[in-house]
Amino acid sequence: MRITYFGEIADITGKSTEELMIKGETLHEVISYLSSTYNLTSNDFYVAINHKLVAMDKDIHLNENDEVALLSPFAGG
Amino acid sequence: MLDRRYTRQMTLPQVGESGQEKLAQARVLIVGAGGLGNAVLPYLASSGIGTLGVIDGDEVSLCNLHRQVLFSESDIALSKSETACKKLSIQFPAIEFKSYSEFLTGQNALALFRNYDLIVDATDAIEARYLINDASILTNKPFVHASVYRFQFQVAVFNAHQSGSYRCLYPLSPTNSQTCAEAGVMPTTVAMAGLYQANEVLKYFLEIGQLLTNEMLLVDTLTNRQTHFAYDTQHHDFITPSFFALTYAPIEKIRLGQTKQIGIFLDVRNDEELPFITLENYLRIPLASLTIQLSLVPRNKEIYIFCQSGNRSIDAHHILIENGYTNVYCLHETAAQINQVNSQIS
Repeated sequence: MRITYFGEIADITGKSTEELMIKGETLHEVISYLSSTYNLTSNDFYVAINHKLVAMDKDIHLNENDEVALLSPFAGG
Repeated sequence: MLDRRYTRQMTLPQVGESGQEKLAQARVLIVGAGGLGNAVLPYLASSGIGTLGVIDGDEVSLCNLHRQVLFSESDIALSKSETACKKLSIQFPAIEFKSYSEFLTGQNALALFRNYDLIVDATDAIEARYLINDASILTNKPFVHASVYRFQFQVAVFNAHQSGSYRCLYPLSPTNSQTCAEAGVMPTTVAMAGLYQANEVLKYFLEIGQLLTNEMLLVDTLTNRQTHFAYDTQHHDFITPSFFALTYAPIEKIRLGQTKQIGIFLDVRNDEELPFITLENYLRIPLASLTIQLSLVPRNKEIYIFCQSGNRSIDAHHILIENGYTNVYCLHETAAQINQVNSQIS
C-alpha cells in the first residue's frame, strides 16, 4: 500500500512516500501504526484515500492498491 | 469603449468584449498584501478587474522584499496595503483601488465583504482563513484560497455556486502549523500560488473553465506533481451571526505580572510538550480535550490561558467563551517565557 505525505507531515516523517507491506488492514490500524512510528498527533493531519479526504472517525477497510495520503492545512502566504 | 490595452485577451473567444465588461464590473477584495497578495494584485489589475480592495494592517520589512515584489527598500515601515495600491494605481489608472490599512477582524469583516463580489484569501495564518470562510458564508461571497508550505501550495475555491467551504475541507484547525516566516519560502512558490488564485478569480467572473470547487489542488513545485483532493461538502448551519460574533470576539490579553493569585493558569498544550511549568493554581488540559473536560475549569475564577505559541490559547479562549465563561484571558507570555520568568524568580 502506498502512503504519501505532504507539507509539514512529510517533514516529520522525513519522506514524501513509502510502501507499506500490509494486507487486510483498516484505516484505523494504518493510522495508528503511522502515528506511533512517526510520533504524529491525530489532530495535526487529515487523511485521503485515493485522493478523497475521509473522516478519521469512520473505520474503512483498505485494499492493497489504495493510496493513503496524510496532509495538513498550510498556513503560509 | 473598452481600453485597447485589453485587446489581446479580448481576442480570446472565451473573453471577448462581454467578458471584459464582466471583469470591469467586478469588485474583488484581497485579504493580505504579502507574498500571495503581491502576486494576485498586479494580474487582477492588469486583466481589468474594475475595483480592487486591499486589506492588510502590516508594514513592509526588509525580509518581505524577496517575494513581495511591489515593494522596495524605500517602502520599509510603510503600510503594505497603501503602498501596493499607490504603485498599482500609477500602472493601472483605470482601476479603482481601495486600501484598508488594518487587519481583518470579526468586527470589520462582514461590512467590508458586503462591498465586494469575491474575496481572495492571501493571508498567512490559519485562524484568518476560518474568519474569511465564516464571513464569506454569512455574506454569501465566494472566496479563492491559497496557502503555502515551503515548496508546496494548496489552492481551492470555496462558497462559489453553493460549493463546499474551507470548513468542509478542514473542519478543525490544526494545533500547530508554520507560517512562511517560520518555515521559509521561495518567492517563486508563493508567486505561483498567487497566480493560480488570480486565474481562478478571472475564470469565476468570465464563467469559463472549471473552478477548483469541492476539491483542493496541491502543487509540489520541486517535483511539479499536482494532486487534486476531493472532499465531502456539507452545510454548516452553526455559522450564524451570533456564532460569528462570539467566535471572533476580541481576545482579552493579559501579562503574567498582571494576573491575580487566585486565578487559574490553564495550559492547553499536549501532555508531552516541554517545558513543564510550575505555577500555583495550574491546570493542564490539552486543547483537543478541553470541551469534554470543561468541568475541571472553575467558573468563578479568572482563567489565564497559555500554550506553546499563542495559537491554541486563542482557540481555547473561544471554547470557554462559547461555553459561558466570562473572565477569560490569553496570556501574552508563551510556556517558554513563563518558564523563563519562573526560573529567574527561583
